[in-house]
Amino acid sequence: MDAAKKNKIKFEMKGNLSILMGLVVLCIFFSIASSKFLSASNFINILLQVSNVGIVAIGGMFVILTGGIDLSSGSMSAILGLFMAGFCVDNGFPVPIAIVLGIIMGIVLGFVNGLSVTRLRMSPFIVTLAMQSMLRGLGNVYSMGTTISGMPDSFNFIGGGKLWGIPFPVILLIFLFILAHYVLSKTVFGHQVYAVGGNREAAYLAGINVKRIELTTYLIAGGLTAVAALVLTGRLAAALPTAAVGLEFSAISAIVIGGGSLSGGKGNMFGTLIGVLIIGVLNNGLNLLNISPFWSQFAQGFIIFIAVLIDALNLRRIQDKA
Amino acid sequence: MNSTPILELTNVSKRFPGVNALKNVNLTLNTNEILGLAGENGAGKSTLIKILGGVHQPDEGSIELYGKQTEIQNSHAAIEMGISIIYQELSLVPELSVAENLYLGALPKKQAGRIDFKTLYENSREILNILGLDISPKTKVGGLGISIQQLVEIGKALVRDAKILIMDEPTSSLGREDAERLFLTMKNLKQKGYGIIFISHRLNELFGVTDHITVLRDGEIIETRPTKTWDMDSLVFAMVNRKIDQFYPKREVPIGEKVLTTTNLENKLIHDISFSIRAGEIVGISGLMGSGRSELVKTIYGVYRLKKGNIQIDGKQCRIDSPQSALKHGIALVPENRKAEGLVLESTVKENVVMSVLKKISRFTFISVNTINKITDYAVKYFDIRTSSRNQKVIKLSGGNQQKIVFARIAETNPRILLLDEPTRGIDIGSKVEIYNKIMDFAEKGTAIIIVSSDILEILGLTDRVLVMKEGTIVVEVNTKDADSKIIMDYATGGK
Repeated sequence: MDAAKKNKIKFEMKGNLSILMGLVVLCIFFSIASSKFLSASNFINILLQVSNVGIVAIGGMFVILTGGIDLSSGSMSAILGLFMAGFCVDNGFPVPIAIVLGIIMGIVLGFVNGLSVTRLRMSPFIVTLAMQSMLRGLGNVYSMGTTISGMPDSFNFIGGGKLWGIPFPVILLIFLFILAHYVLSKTVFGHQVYAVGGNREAAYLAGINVKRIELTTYLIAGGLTAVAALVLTGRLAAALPTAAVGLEFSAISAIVIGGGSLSGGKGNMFGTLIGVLIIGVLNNGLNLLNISPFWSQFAQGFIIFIAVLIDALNLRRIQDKA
Repeated sequence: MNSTPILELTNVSKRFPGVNALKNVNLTLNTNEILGLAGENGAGKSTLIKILGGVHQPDEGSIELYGKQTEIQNSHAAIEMGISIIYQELSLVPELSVAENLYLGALPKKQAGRIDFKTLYENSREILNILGLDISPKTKVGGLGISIQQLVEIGKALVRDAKILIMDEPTSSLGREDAERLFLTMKNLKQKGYGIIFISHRLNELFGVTDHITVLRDGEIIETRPTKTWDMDSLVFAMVNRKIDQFYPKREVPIGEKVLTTTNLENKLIHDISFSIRAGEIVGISGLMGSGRSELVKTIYGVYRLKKGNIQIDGKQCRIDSPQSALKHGIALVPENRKAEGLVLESTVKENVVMSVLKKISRFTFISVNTINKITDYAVKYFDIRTSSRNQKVIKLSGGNQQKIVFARIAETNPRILLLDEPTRGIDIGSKVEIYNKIMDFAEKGTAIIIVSSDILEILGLTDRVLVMKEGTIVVEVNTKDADSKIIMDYATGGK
């Protein structure tokens, strides 16, 4: 291995090392505190619990890397779940068609978000906040506030089925993370995403179609939100208009804990995955210790606070140097 | 006039990682004196100012103020000690009145925090008097001309009881009449006992207004002499340490066909721009700040839309509506502000080098690390970029190396038309000469090159022709052979 390559690995590890350590420490702590924590089945269980947050976080990471944000994914996930379930149950569409339609709708909603941000130059925070509220409302209107259930087994398989003894959402989650990591680090699009988030003006003057890149990230986020909706609906075997409240915040938390920066251009998919796992392990561990879920909510917020604090301290160090 | 020293620097040194920004600087400023500070970009002027303004602390040496040794710990302390720095960029609040701006942060108050407007206006009138400004203190600043705003900025310094005024290129956006007005005020303040340090790229201004001129080069004081004993040649020689023709490595290059022709370009920022440029030719664009120089090259580069007129490349009309399409037509831009517009500072050297050619080097949208590394290694070698590795973040590199990375990125696009906006601003002299040589390499390869620069010596030293701009339009085109800095400044400031 030449020196440069070694350097690169060291460099990438340095970025993720502290959060990876955090995850390890957390795991060691819960292994000691609870006899039920350290087992393969519990680990798979954790992955299953975080699968829909994780899938949303992948899409959210693309958006956040360009310096945007998507607050609409929670209620978007709920309404897409309702639509897909409704297509099967009320309209009698075949399962594959219901799913494809749902994913298309997710992409269309992402398109609306993206277009508002890039063409209408609205602030992503406000646009997606408005979308969050609108979609939650529409979901209730569509379902008249009730739960939709009774989908065929093949529909529920994606969220509730198993493949080679492993829950299907877990396989999907890992596959999507690997794919997203590959796209970000190896493709033209991935490099451009980092350039746009790192310095929008420089990226534009370097000939990168900044608006198209930003728009694309919202499309990805919308599409993946549909996949997350499918997972959640399948796991519950029901679509609820109140599903996935606060999902976007868990996803953004995971991204921030994983080293992403809301100003864009920083972090990677591996970090986001660790961030998702930290949230999962925390919730699972506190649950095993019979600690109130209210405390786990507090703990999640506290970890974000620490993550952002570390980020701010790093930033100050950089600025002091410059 | 009896003048006594109010500011004395003794053996002041400052190092930044990799650079000696200042080396054993000795400098004396007296009351009733205007001291001119001359030096190339990167000579250490701004570091010196920042030390006086309390932004940086010297590593060695001492500062004496009013005969007492002091440390200027931060910018607040500098103001307290009577040192005021007036930067190029004004820091006025356009929506507030002149008086409110003058006393911003120090408004006279009555009980319960109400503003004492009577005192405010009275005091402001006094300050305006000193400045020789005949305007009402109630006027909104936003409606005033730029030169008057500049004077208000000086007024702010007077309000804060400044004894030492440091003026960093205050004339860079002023026309000649406005500049004259500023000089008059400066001379007035000098009579009243102030000490002024005046920095300008326009050497003839230094001759007109200063008592002494100090030349800085590579962080060292080369010489301080009474202004009378300097002349243009000796000053330039002191600044660049060689005759101008050695500093600027101009080469004879065969001039080819017309590459770019613009006809009656028109939008909000530029008016009726027509010129053309041939392969291998280097054309300079001169003019004051705000004369539309940058706007012109950015319009050609597709950043600003054209309202009228057309751009022809190789005789064929082109529609360029974005940097992306400009690059497709072989046009590349080195932007004015490398940190804000040229680089992704938090990214690595290699990411920046390949940023404009990601598509070109990809196969089926995939980019191999090896390709990136190969391109970067070549660029690092060719441009002599001093970096510990290709994975170094560019924020950690010096200005000169950062600018070389911008050039490396642009070179990868194989431009036929190269637009350079202030290509050597704020970089050290060594890097400067290296970049000049690379520009000549481009010309030799038949690239048509347009250089926008505030540095008239640079324009005169590198170009074949000069276009002088004023108020968004080209006022004159001269052959560089027949031009000198006086001719160009006369046109740029509207003297003729």
